[in-house]
Amino acid sequence: MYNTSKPQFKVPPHVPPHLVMDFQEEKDPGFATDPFGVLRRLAENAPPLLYTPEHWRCVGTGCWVVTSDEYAREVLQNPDPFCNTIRFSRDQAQWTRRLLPLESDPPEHMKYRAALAPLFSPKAIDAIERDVYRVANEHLDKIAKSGHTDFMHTFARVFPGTIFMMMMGMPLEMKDQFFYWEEKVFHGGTFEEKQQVAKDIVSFMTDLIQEKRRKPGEDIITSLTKAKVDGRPITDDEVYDICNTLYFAGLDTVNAAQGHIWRYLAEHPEAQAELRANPPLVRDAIEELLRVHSVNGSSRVLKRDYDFHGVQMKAGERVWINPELTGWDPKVYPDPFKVDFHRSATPHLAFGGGPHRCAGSHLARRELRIGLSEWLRRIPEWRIEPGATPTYFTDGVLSLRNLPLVWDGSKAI
Amino acid sequence: MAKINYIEFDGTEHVQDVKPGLSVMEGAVKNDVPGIEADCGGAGSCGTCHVYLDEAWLGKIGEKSAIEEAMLDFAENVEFNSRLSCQIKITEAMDGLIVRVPERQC
Repeated sequence: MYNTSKPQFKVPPHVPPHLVMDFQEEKDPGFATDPFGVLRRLAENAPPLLYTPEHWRCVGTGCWVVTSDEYAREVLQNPDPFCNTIRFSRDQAQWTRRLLPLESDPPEHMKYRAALAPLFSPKAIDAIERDVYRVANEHLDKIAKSGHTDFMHTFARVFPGTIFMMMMGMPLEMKDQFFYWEEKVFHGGTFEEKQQVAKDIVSFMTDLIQEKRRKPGEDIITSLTKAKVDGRPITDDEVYDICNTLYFAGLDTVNAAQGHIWRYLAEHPEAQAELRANPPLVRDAIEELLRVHSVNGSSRVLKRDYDFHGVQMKAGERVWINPELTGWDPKVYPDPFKVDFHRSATPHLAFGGGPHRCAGSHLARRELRIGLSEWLRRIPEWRIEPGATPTYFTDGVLSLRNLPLVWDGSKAI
Repeated sequence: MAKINYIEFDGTEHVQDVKPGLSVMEGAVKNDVPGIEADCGGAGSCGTCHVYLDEAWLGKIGEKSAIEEAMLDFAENVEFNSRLSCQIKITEAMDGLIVRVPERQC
């Protein structure tokens, strides 16, 4: 695995040579059309802990990669030494602020998490469930009878985005602007374009927070402005930093997850049939599909030297967790590459673990469940358009660029 | 050691000897008691270690912190005797503690 002919590989002397592996999935030429295939090949050869001299998540240095479920849980559940307060991702280079609560460690972390959690609790999501159904159906109304669509553009990216705008109290008239920003920030063009969009978002959000203080509504931003941190009122900066996290954590992820789920069902009509025959199975099907097609990993940085199961790690080194790989851990999931909606429920790491475990998981699950149930109800068996090749983005969250689907429009309702 | 009785939703009882200092959640997870998922590993961040404290023990094991209150919002079917089991540290005085496991964690 270690290609000694590449001169740029620099491996620190304390890293055991047998753990060194070139782990750069996005550089594999097959990644744009079959990223899970590429990851699977890497998974089959990867030890539970490895060191890659290059990784797109690290600027100018290598990093550790954890691939087993057991090791991943250990890293996620131990903010000391695996912390979030040291800047790690190249994507975040354009932000001079920090994302909250993401870039904080306990005990500070919980103070922000406690302000955020009730806004995304199962009860809070129950309260908007009717809206989720309504928005899903509004988007389906536009495409059902036509018998074809590019799922990523007409549903996957706009359905959760609309819900997000509603929950945040953003005016729906700015939908187009909002989706333009989203496209640019997550999978946009140049670094400069992303920087400009980042500035525009900062400006917009700052104004919006001020407006919610002046004219409170029934939305997340208003609730955040009223929160207390450590007994004192939250500052505008903190509200802003939390909103930023919601934006980055909450949109592209669920967009991406839909793509993988709908694609799997498009390519496995027997699985679609099983769900049509047994609608309550949708809930378990989504968990199983999140297990095998996770979209977003976690990074941590060592805040001190540490002996991890006999391996020396040094302060400042980065650790990357790939939930795609942990979801395929055969020690936890026998026959791991097989998709089985009836697998006994074992918590997967698609939503992370430890103190930073996804606060939006209930919303994500509800959107996926309702989106999929409504598709199954209204759209007959869908397939990938013959001759079309869905492709994936090669940076950011693991997501399809396009997913052209076809079905018999005359049978849609 | 403290004997903790974890009662599953279907009534199955699991009486475990748990070392004081561990949480009620750890006592379950380390002994393969089903129904307590503890996704976040005990950080009070996910609400999936939700249990119902037997009423006989109410007021005898210390109150919820404000943060546990906030995190309980993450659980389903929360009742007056709901607790996050990762936030209850076991002591010798809890010998005989009974908790009921919900039908499912969210």
